[in-house]
Amino acid sequence: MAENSYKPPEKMIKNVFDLNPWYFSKAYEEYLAFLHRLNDSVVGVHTTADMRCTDLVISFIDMLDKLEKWAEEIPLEDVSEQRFGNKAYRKFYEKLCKESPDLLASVLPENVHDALVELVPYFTESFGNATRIDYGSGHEANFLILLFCLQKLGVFTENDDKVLVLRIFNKYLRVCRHLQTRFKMEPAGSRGVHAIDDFQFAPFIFGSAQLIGSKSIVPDSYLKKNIVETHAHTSLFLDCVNFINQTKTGPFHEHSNQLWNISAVPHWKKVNSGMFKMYEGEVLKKFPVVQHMMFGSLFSFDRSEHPRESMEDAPSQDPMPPRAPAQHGMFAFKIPSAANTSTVHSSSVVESGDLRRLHSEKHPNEHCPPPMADA
Amino acid sequence: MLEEDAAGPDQLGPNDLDRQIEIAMRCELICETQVKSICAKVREILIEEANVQVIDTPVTICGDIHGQFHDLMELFRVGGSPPNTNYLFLGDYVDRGYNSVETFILLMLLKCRYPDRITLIRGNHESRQITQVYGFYDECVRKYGSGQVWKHCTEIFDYLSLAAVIDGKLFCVHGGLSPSIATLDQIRVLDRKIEVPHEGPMCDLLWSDPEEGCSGWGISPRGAGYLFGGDAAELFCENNDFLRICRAHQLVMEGYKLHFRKRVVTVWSAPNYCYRCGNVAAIMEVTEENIDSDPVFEVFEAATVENRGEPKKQPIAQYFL
Repeated sequence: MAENSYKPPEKMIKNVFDLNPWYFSKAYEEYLAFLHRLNDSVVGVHTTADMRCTDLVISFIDMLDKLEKWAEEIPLEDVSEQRFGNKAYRKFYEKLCKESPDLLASVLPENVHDALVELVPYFTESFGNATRIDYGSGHEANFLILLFCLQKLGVFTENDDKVLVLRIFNKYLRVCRHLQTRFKMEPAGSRGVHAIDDFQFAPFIFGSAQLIGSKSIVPDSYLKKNIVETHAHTSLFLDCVNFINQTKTGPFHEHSNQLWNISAVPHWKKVNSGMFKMYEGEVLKKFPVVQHMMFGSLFSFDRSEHPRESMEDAPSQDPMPPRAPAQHGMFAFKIPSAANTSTVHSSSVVESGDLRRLHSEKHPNEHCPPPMADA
Repeated sequence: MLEEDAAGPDQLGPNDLDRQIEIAMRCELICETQVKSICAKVREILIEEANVQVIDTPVTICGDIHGQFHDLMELFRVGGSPPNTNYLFLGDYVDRGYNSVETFILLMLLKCRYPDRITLIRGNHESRQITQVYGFYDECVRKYGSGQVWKHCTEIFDYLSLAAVIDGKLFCVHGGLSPSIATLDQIRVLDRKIEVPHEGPMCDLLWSDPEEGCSGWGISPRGAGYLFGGDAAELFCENNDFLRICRAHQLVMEGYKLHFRKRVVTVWSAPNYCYRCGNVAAIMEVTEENIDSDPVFEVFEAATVENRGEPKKQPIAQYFL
């Protein structure tokens, strides 16, 4: 990576017409491939399974632990002065921004310190927005992008995939839940009953992969609170449903209608592939979420050199990265990849066309693109 | 459950409307043909309304509803049923909640039946772009099998007023202020019958937020609209001889919040938002007697969960089949 010149990442998606170059960017392609690799690594693997953690991984987890301690130490502000979220969160965020360069520098190897200018913003923007005191799937994506960049830099290898999901990402989730609960963070850009969850998405992807091949737990099982509670420690999916059960009130079929619907899907393999499609369709292709994404040399907005059409026509020719054998890994990887390829291709063209036509029909003289923004 | 109406689709007299309202009040779906007729009628009414609608006291102001139909029923229980109480709703009728379509259709029916006693202004969620992301479109497709009802409703969104002024003293808007708007005339000249633009004065009215500690104007983390400070609010009130600005747009734990020494008020009317926030909701009751004094709020909690029945499970076909 010596030839790279690192720069602070910046927002490149300014309006809906920037969605198309985003779909065809290196960042989109590489990020999705990264998520699939992480997904494959945890197929059939319990969260509690033994796995070797390198010193680096342990240091990374300790760093996340430190954030949790800060959250605990910062006194909450008087409720009567708040709108909703506790303004003490801003103290946490301020400390996070101030300390992050040193935190990451102390954990990461010397040879990637040049890249810190590009890595730090993904880290600081992983834990919520200080002005609104909110958190959403865009913040979650920033943390995954950080892990993606670290793997690209060689800090982590694909041998670390399982650990990245079940130890580092899992620890990140716990820190975020702590922040959400302690500081009363508002859902950012929540789709409410139409979303999987107000705050997270990725743990439902990885967690459904973990449940593939399970003899005792079928998708319908997570509607039963006792099963969820008993098995929450085995899968990120069930752990998230458990958190929903603890924090939401009212009927499950109403407040979590999407999860209610998905419980009718017969197999976890199909849930897993559906989750990937849904992540693309509801997170990566929605302007209100991706408008906040930041791009640099590692997470690059440049056009991908692998056109979707070619991948679609000859999937077998695409060089698959080598990975550790996993139960149903091949199946889980291939089907989502093929489906996502065709989905990306058709959706990006049709959606952009529809938006342009809709807009120009409505406003033939309007030169401004239509709006979208995080609600 | 779909109710068929025996009357012709183009005839919506008071009796027909009363019957439709009765159905809608039970949170039952109105058939697509009738929705189309309702939309045609409400459009005729809204097209005659101004960008800045003038309202007289007494009026009860309501904040975001976000498809929380049963909580809207609770609001009417607390504030009084139309037409006994005059209402001004500050937008964000749809998205997020489970019953956006029932909520918006009911409000349209009430507008048709009592046009002078209920005022609906536009929120940032009354938009094609936003409702395709935040759930109203998905809900219409799930409940009606196609996007036609969504299409009819979003056409109505374009006709909603942008703001309201009560007794010349209260300026009411969904989001807040704009650096491009110093006087009401600058709102009056806007062409409002369009999709919400991504920037500019119309966008700002629907997207901006007040921010303590902000001086003048700041960048909004929402990506649209502005943050505005107490000085900007003060200047706007002085220029237009307003006592107060009343807006919604932001979740408040206690249902309402006073900003900038009561120059700006936030009213939020969706209790236990996202089924997790545990907040109460509020409505603001404005009378000729109290308009010059401190604002008066009525606070309410989420409706009790009755047995609302389990819906059929429908995994999203494009993802899970």
